[in-house]
Amino acid sequence: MSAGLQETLAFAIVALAVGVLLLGFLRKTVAEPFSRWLLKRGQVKWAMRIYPKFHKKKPPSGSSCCD
Amino acid sequence: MAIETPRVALAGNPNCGKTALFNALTGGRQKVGNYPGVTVERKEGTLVMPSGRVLSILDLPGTYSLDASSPDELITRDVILGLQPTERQPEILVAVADATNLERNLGLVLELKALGKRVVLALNMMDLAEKRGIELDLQALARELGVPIVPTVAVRGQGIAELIRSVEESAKAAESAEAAAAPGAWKKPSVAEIRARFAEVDRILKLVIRKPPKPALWTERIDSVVLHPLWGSLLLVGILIVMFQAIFTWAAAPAELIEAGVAWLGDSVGRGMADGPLRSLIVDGAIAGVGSVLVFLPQILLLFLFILLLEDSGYMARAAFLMDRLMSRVGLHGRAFIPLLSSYACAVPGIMATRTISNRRDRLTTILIAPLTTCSARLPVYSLLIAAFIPNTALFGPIRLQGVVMFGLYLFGIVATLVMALVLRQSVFRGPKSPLLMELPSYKWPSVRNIVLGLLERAKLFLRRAGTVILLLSVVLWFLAAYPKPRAGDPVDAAHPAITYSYAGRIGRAIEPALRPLGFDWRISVALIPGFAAREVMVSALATVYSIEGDEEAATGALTDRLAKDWSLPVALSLLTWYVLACQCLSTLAVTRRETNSWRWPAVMLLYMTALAYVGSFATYRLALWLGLH
Repeated sequence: MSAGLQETLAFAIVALAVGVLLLGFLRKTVAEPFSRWLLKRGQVKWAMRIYPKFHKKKPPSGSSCCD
Repeated sequence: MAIETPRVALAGNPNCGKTALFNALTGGRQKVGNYPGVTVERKEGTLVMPSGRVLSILDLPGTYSLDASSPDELITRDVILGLQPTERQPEILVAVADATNLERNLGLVLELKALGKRVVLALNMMDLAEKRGIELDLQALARELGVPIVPTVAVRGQGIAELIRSVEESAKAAESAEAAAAPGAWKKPSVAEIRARFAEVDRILKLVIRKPPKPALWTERIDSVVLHPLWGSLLLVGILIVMFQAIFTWAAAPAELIEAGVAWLGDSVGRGMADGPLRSLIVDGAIAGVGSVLVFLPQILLLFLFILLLEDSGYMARAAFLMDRLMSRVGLHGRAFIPLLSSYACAVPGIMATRTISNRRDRLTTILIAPLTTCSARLPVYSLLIAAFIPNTALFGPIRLQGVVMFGLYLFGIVATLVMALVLRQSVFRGPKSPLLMELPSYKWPSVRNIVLGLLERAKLFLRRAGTVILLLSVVLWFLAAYPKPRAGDPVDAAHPAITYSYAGRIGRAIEPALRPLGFDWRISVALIPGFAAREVMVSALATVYSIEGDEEAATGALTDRLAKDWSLPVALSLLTWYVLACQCLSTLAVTRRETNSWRWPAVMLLYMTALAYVGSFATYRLALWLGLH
């Protein structure tokens, strides 16, 4: 593998790592608090859209109760 | 109405064996998270029944009553009543009760039954009840309560098959039922109603208990030593010394094996690739960075093995009782012990556990001092520096200096925690002290299953962290340490290695003047920055920096040798002091923000801990130089 190709691949991996770290940071600092804020105001659907992992999925159709 | 996946919730008093029952029912099929909007742990698992049917099992926080006050007790009540947003109301409740203490446990069972939901009573710890000579008329109990009863010994898996059968029958009955209890069908009981409930418990117990318990002679005999002010305290110190000794001696062989594996991997990948940036990224960045942290997995698992053994045997509550004398003297609430103890694993769950403290002053004090306790993320840093600078000489018998120094660092953390608690309680949070009321569980043999599951969970968390945050930060740090390359004409020699021209070198040199009084050079200064994301990243950052600097030893995992050659003992002691006292953790600051609902307290935490660490490290460095240590 040439040095040029190695450098391109290394930069791509670094960019990916920076992107993943940045996304994680934004999710924690922006999406999660915003989702909580929406949840407190009863906007459950929007809260789930913005930070779905944060909330339980809707129960399957035909479920017995309470949603 | 058809239910696709019936939901079963386990509810019961604290310490009734609910989580052991949850583990026995679900095995490894568990998902741990948080309830939305609050930081109460949510544990859900699945149970596949013999018929092939799948049940969802929810482990609710322990509570003595539905008339709750603390956030975790409120969650239990709201989930049961269907008032918890985004959480489906359970169709079946498994009330878990401690058979050795029905007087306290039956009150909640009566409350659950009064909701009109399907209740199955798991009468747990039947083995202990038998040992204490308690004889129960289970038929009479089932008749009086009007619910099916299954005797269980959750830690040994006894009675689990019967419990599953009983739950399946209830699930079938729930399917055909018209409706579950209406959400919110509960009102706060009056004093008269509470008295009536306890009178009902007394009436049932008179019918059910054929033989009352014999006095627990062994528990009393053991407690006369374990809870003794002098012998008990000596025993506690002895246990801690053995624990830290074992962390060093027992973990040595597996740690060397992992180190050799990392070195082999680095060599193999290095030999198989042409020299260039990608090879350097993989070998010097990813493998050297992640490998340097992975080496500490055996030590972390040993630490948790001891913690789990002490918890499961019933000793931890005694340790809390012993520590309460000391804690109350510095003005800490008795309930602060559990959050502080959790902080030895990680300050994040420790701070979350302060929700059980209802007084705001007591809670804020505990939150602000929790990060001073020695979390497991500090262990890799301590181990690295101790292995590099402290000789492993025998002191007396099997006790060696390295283990004693590790114990000393933990002790330093405890002293710092208590002193800060005293300072806060005498100044910002001045007020009356609250007494500790706690229940001492019976002694029992630890469950192998619980210990194994606990260790697996801990190993999973550590490896996930190594494979995500630490790997990503190692890659980013590699880039910062490798680029930009020296320009043509820049001198590159032993005094000016290529890394000094990189971003990391420049950042390190920019910070170095501020940290130079503590003895930290630019490499340590650079490594402290990613260490904010996770403390142990500092180790991988040092490994990456030394690796890129072209040091073969660091690249093959022997970072300790390089540090021993490059740093003096005062520098190592200063860095250890920094790590004992500094708030090097973004997650701790984030969870403090969430728990206090304000940026003020995380800011106070960061400022006071950084100031404390700076002054402490400075004093340590100067004192060590003055003493002529090398």
